[in-house]
Formats: sequence, structure tokens, C-alpha cells
Amino acid sequence: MDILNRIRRIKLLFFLVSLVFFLFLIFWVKNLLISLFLALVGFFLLKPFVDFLVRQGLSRLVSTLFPFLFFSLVLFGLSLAVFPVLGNQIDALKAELPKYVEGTQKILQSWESGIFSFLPADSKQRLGVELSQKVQRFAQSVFTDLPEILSNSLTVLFLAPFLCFFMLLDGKEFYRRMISAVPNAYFELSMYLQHQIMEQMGGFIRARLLESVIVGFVIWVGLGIIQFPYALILAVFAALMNLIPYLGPLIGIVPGVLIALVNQETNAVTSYIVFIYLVAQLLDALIIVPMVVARIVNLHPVTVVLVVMVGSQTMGILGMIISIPFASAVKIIYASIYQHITDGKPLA
Amino acid sequence: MSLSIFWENIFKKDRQVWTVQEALKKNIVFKDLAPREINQIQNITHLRSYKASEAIFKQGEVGVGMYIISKGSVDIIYDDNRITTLKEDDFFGELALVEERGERTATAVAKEDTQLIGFFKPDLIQIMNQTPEIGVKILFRIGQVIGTRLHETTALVKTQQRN
Repeated sequence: MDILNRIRRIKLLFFLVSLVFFLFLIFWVKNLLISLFLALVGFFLLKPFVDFLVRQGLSRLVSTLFPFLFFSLVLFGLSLAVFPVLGNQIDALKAELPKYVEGTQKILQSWESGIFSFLPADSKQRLGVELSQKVQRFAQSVFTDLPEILSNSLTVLFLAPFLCFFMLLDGKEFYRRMISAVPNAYFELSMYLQHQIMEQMGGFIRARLLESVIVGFVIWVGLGIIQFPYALILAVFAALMNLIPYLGPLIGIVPGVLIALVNQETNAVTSYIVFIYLVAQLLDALIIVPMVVARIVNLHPVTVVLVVMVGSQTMGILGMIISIPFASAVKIIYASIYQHITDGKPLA
Repeated sequence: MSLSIFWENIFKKDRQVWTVQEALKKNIVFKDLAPREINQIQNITHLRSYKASEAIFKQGEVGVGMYIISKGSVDIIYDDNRITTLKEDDFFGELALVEERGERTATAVAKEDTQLIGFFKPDLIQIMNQTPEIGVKILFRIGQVIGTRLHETTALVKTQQRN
């Protein structure tokens, strides 16, 4: 009995040490976390196609290679078509940025004098200075962060598809080896949790991405119709922000409306822009959400705000975007464990 | 002596694969499968080793799948009473393959050093998605096993009612 307990303890210790080491490695190497995350996104997106081809009787390798190459080519083609336009728009926006920052400050100041007229004089001034500083800092950080994000993305660009490919090809075997190291006492629990988490994560990632792509596309087309400047950047920004629940759609609409206000567009144009964003959100809320997101764990608005703040503090803009899927993953894991240990009562 | 250990190590994996395949072939759940299909199942099963008196699962826990005994024996215990002892090639826990969050109705404990072949629900779902023709064969047999168990239970209840 003593030997048995010792073996159990050693096994458990070995398993926990490997787990902690693995987690440490992921968090320590910044690009690894993002690459792993993107690889997982790719894995969940491509898995249904791979499964379909396997079902048709093709080998695992061919079934993995085919959708992988196809989607790589599609992405490559899309980036060839989209990146030059996006690059041009970014350059143009960079050149015009001082104009927009100044214009935004003026708008804020005029609002401020109206809204804060009841506040004491010194706090009025402080607010104005703080707000304009914040806007300036945020606008600049987008461009100062960009080269860093791009240099990181080169590593990620190679690492993520590499990891994704092998996840699709050998993921099951890798998982079998991992789970064979789990001590007997926790074996069934680990198996159950892994299954639950993978199911939910797959649904979550597919749904959120589909939502973002549709929202971005609607905004791009809508703004493109009236040839509004920076339509593509605004659409990409709104699509990325849409990954953040509750706050995202609000943040997404701000640059579009600000550009319209600074350019002193007519009320009709500004209303049209707001209308486009609303249409995109309505499409999302009325069609996509009931279809795919209904069964997905939602985060409480307060959690969203806290998580986005922590994300932006630790990893900047990139942190803001990946913090929500990350927090959702943590919630799914937590909820699955909670459900398991409380005999099936779902987490409120 | 050292030579035998040397040879044993070389063929250990093959022997394990062979043992698993043989055990699967003999099991009623996989009875309808062709050798190629047995191979596929063998690739997704989990071989687990338990020391004597080590618990395999406990009464009330959520079950994830079934086990086939490839070596050793297993005591099935209900409310601290041993109901039966299962031997080599016997299987247990198959209800968990089809139940939604079904709880284990009894505790299973290894009576001696035991080796089990585990076949679990996530893997069955994967088979049903990827190769439905294998999935159907397995599900049909699981249905049959559960039906037989129901018949036996009904007969038992009837005899007890008569007494």
C-alpha cells in the first residue's frame, strides 16, 4: 500500500511539474502564447474540414494537407489583395493623424465646455488636459506598437501555421500520450474535462470569428459605398474590436464617427455611418448570435471591462484583443471543472 | 537472464498491440468489426495499469467510458458490498458510453495488478463523426448489451417479487 501511494505521489508530482513547466514556457515566451493561440484558432477552424475528408476515406496526412494548403492559398491571395490597400490607407492615416488628433481634441473641448459646465473650474481644466493627452497617447501608441506587432507577427507567421499543421495531423496522438501520463485517480476526470473544453472552445472560436468577419465585411461594404476614407482600416478595426463583447462594438464605432466629425461631414453622412455600424451589429445580434453563439459561455460585462483593462496593461492593443478569448477559455475550463465537482449543476 | 530482458523490451510494444487487438476481437461490443476496423479502434484505446486495490472509478462519479480487462481481475463494489469479481476479457462501464453525464452505479477496484483497455465516449463520438459505419456497428452492439442487461434485471426483479 505504501509503495502504491509513493508511486501515485511521484506520478502526480511528475505530471504537475510538467504542466507547470509547460504553462511557464507558454507565458514566458511571448510569441509562443500568441502562436499557440492562433494555431488553436486555425485548428478549430480547419478541424471540421479535416474530419470531413477523413470520413471520405482519405488518409490523415492528405486530409490535413489539403484544407491546410487550400486555406493558406486563400489567405495568401486575400493578403495580396488586401494588404496593399490596407498599407496605403495606414500611410495616409499616419500622415493625417495630427489633423484628426487636433480635430478630436477640439470636439472634446467643445463637448467638455457643455457637459462639464457644472463642475468646479480646476477639475474642468484637468479633465480636458487628461482627455486630450489620453487620445494623443492612444493614437500614437497604435503606430508605435505597430512595428513591434509586425516584427512579432513574422515569428508568429511561421510558428502558428507550423503548430496548427501538427495539431491537426498528430494532435490526437499527442493528446493520447499526454493523457497517458495522468495518474489513474484523475484519468477519467481529465478525459471528460478535455472533451468538454475542446467542444466548447471549438464552438466559441468559430462563432466569434464568423461574427467578426461578417461585421467587418458589412462595415467595409457600407463605408465603401459612400467612399468614406479609410473604409478598410475602420472595418478591420471594428472586426477586431467586435471580439470584445459589450465594449467592442462601442469602441469600434468611435474612429468612424470621429473621422466624420473632424472632416465636418454633413449630418446625413454621419448618420449613415452610424447606421452602417448599427446594421452590422443588428445582423450580428439577430442572425449570427442566435445561430451559433447561443450555447457559448458569456462573460459578465464587469468581467469584460476588467479583463480588457488587464490585457491592455500587460500586452497593449494585442492584449486587449486576445484577453477576451483567453478569459473565455479560462471560464470554460473553470465552468467544466465546477460542473463536474458539483454533480452537473451548471455554473450560474 | 539479461538476454531475455533485452528481447522482451524489443517486442514489448508489439506484444501490447497484439494483446489489445486480441482483447477487442473477443469483446462483444467490437464483434462486428473487420480486422482493419479493429486496428482503427486499437489506435484510440487507452491501455491503463492499476496496482492491487487501486480504484478504477468510484460510485457516483461521472463515467466516461468502458473498460476491458486484458490482465488481472476487478472487484465491483456497491455500497461497500462486493457484488462480483470480473476476470480477464470481461468488460464493465459500457453504459457511460451512451449516457449523458451518467454516474457510475458502483465502484470498480483492481483486485490484483491489473491491465485495462479503456474505450471512452469522446473517442466513440470521434468514430461516429469520422467513420459512421464503424460507429453504427459499435452502437448496435452496445444497445444489445444494455438490452440483455435490462432483461436480466427484469427477470431478477420478477423472481424477487415472486419470493
